[in-house]
Amino acid sequence: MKLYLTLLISFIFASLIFAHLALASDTSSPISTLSIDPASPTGANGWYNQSVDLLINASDNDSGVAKISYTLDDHATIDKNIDASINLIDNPSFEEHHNHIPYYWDRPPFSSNIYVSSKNSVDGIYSLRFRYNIWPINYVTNKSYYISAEAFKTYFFSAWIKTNVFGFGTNYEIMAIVNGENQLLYRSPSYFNLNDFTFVNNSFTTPSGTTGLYINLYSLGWGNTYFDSLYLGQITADSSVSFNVSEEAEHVILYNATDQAGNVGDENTDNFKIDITPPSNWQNFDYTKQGNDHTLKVNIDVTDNVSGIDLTSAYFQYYIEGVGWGVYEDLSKCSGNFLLDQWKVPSISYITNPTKALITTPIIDFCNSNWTQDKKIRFKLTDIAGNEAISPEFTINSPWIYATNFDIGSSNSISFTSPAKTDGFVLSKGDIVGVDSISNVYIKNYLSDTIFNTQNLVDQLTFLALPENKLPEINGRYKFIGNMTLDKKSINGYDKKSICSVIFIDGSLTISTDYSLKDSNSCLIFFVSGNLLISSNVNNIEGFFIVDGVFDTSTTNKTLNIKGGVIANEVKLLRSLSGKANLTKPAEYFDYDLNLLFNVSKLLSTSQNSIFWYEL
Amino acid sequence: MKIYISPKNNKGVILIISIIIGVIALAAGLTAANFVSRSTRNITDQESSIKALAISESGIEKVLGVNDVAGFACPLTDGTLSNPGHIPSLGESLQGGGNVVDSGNCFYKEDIDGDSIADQSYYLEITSKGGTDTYLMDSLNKDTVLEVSTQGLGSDELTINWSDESGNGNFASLLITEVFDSGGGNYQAKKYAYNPSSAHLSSDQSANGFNEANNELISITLTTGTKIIRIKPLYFGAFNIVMNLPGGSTFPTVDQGFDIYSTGCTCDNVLDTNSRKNASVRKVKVIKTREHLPAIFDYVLYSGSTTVPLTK
Repeated sequence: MKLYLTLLISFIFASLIFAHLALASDTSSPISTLSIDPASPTGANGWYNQSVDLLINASDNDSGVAKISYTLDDHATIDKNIDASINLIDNPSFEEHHNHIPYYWDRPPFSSNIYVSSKNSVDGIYSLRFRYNIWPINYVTNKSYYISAEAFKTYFFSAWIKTNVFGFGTNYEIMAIVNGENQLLYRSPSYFNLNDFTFVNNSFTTPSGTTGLYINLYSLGWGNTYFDSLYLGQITADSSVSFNVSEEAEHVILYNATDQAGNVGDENTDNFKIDITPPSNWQNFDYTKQGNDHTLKVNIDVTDNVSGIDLTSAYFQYYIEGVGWGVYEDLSKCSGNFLLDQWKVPSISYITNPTKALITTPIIDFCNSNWTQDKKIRFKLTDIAGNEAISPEFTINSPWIYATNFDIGSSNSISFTSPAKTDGFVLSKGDIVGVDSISNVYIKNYLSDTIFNTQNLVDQLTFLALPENKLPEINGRYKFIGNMTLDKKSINGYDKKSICSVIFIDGSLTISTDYSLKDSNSCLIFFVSGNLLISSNVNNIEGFFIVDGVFDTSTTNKTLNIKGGVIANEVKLLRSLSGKANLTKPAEYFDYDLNLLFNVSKLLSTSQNSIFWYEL
Repeated sequence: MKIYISPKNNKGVILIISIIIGVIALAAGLTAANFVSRSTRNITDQESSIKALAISESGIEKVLGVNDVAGFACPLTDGTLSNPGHIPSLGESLQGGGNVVDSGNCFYKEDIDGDSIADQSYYLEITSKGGTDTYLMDSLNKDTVLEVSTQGLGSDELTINWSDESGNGNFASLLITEVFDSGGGNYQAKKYAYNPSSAHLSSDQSANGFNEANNELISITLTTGTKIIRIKPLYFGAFNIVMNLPGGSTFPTVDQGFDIYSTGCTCDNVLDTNSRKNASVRKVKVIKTREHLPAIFDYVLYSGSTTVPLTK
């Protein structure tokens, strides 16, 4: 019991001393290097246009690598610890012995002058002493207690030696059992005149066929040698760290390594830059007449927020019905040689250097004023990283929408061939193409948690029955089951009173007449479980419409003005104005009535959105 | 060691064995009884705690029908107000058995089983969301809207600060809409979009082009004629939202909503320490904000189909 207690205390003490002294002895710093895959930038001007794999390798010839640290840009520093395994040598400090003969170590016959001594030690109480040993068989080995090992693994060996032997000197050997044969892996130089315990160490990799390792300790000559606190451990983890970077930016990476002795290597710096996304945000599509109404200069803005726009890369081509995509050799004429599928260079300049640019075409003759025929234009250019983008096709004099005071959104993507104009935010689960917002806020690839249907609201509210096919005469919430047509009769004088009501149509609604509300205190909210059709003869209506089916504006050539808003599962914007009217007027105009926020809140505010419970 | 039992001494051995068995049986019985007793007490404690929570919530429910704390009076057991429109004063006895212990706050006790001894009590503390220079909101889910009245304020510098949920590192972006009267009832809207600070941006947020807040603190100059602001968190929920006005300015109280704290107790007087002994006490907080339209009304045009794009 006493022995075990002594051993335990010795072991703990030895570990602490060993760790402390080991730290103090290896004075060389580890080296770290970075490699990037792909090795060379894949884009232009030193940019990668794909994500990259980074590998930091570290090495240390003495105590081995303990930690690799790296910092990418302004992110927090990441440390990867590389731990050595526990000491695999039995009785490494010779604390266990019987009559001064160490356990787990063998000495040859006639070597009684090799024994465990308490005269000197690094840790614990004892060390192994070679005393005036001139007998040629002069070694101690733990071959009989060899350490199981595997091929191609990296190990770290260390020991403390104190010697004043002169003669042949003192050394040690690291031996491997390879395919059943003994193989020398490393023989240390001979040590003389180490008046204090000195730390010696070596890292090595086992060869193919290795099944075991053992250590031979030698000392031959006149004087005394002490071995103590031996260590053999496997470096278990790779002394490398790898990770992928896909964030688009100009990156700076700082990295270094620390060895098991605590030496910190030099901090290295590398730079790389990634831009995967081609230019986008084709906005502010506009054109100005140059003489007749079909001879135009076309403008558009384009943005690349990462590497920026390459001003030398812009091209355009246009579409003439019956001819195709390409350019006339003389752009100002609709005659001569048409270069099918060819592109021409516009003028281009930075709005914001280098991320936003304005493209302006030369004067282009789009041939005629027949606006029933498609006249389209598109652009292409690359960013500085070499990512090429082709714009959507923009149609000259095609219908467009105008939406004011609040936001536009889609649970899919948004794409308008002639840009919609708005002053609100634009939010989409997919891409956003062809919307010009004064707010300049475009929220792409966003999945909203808002529930865009009537059921959620209907479930939280109570409704009175609505008299068949007639709007109510007093404020309230009403429900009508069946299809309803809102015509002059069913308006029922609603437009002549200050009334505010919510009407749930459990069916479809057709609006077949123009109407307006009396004043700013009036409101009309429709929940429609089916479809909402606006008849082609209708041009001016008011109200807010939440539609579970299709909202259809009907094919006609007059603007539909809605003072209010529309939330529908599917929106069909079918109107197109006649002649050149599309140049100046929207085909559908949605003007959010902000009075709704004040008039309707008491009718539609629910506990779900205004009452918040917390348990304390 | 072997024990040899002879006919001469076996009576004593049987007695000893009987005593040992008896002691073991008694110990086992006591242990089982103690276990059952503790289990029963745990179940009783749980039931009592649930009951205390229900009492707290019942107090809240009786207040929720009231829209404006200025018109608030302590509720009666039947859910009606003791004196609608009347602001109770300290110590005033209320019709129906409750009494006001300090201004605006109500203590109420109820005799459930009709034995003329109160079985449960709750204490309501009610404060207006307006009337001070600070408006607090504990949490707001992603894509939901908080509406705050700014009616009557001048061109004040409104600051808004927000946080993540319990340090999880997910900081919301905020969309803010201010609606103001530009004259003669002509309402207009101003829009603001803010990300959290750059250190807290997710990859989605970093690509949206919003302005960046400094440590999740932003400042908005209110417009003359300001009426309301609507705040909507994007990407994540927003927590510990704190809105502040400069010194001297206070948020209006009318239609602003209020905070209600209800402390329920399975005792006859939640305000009395002795009464609360051996009873369960639970506390609930409810924020009732200004009544407002849900987030779906923040769109002038929205296409809800996940398969069909919004096109023209």
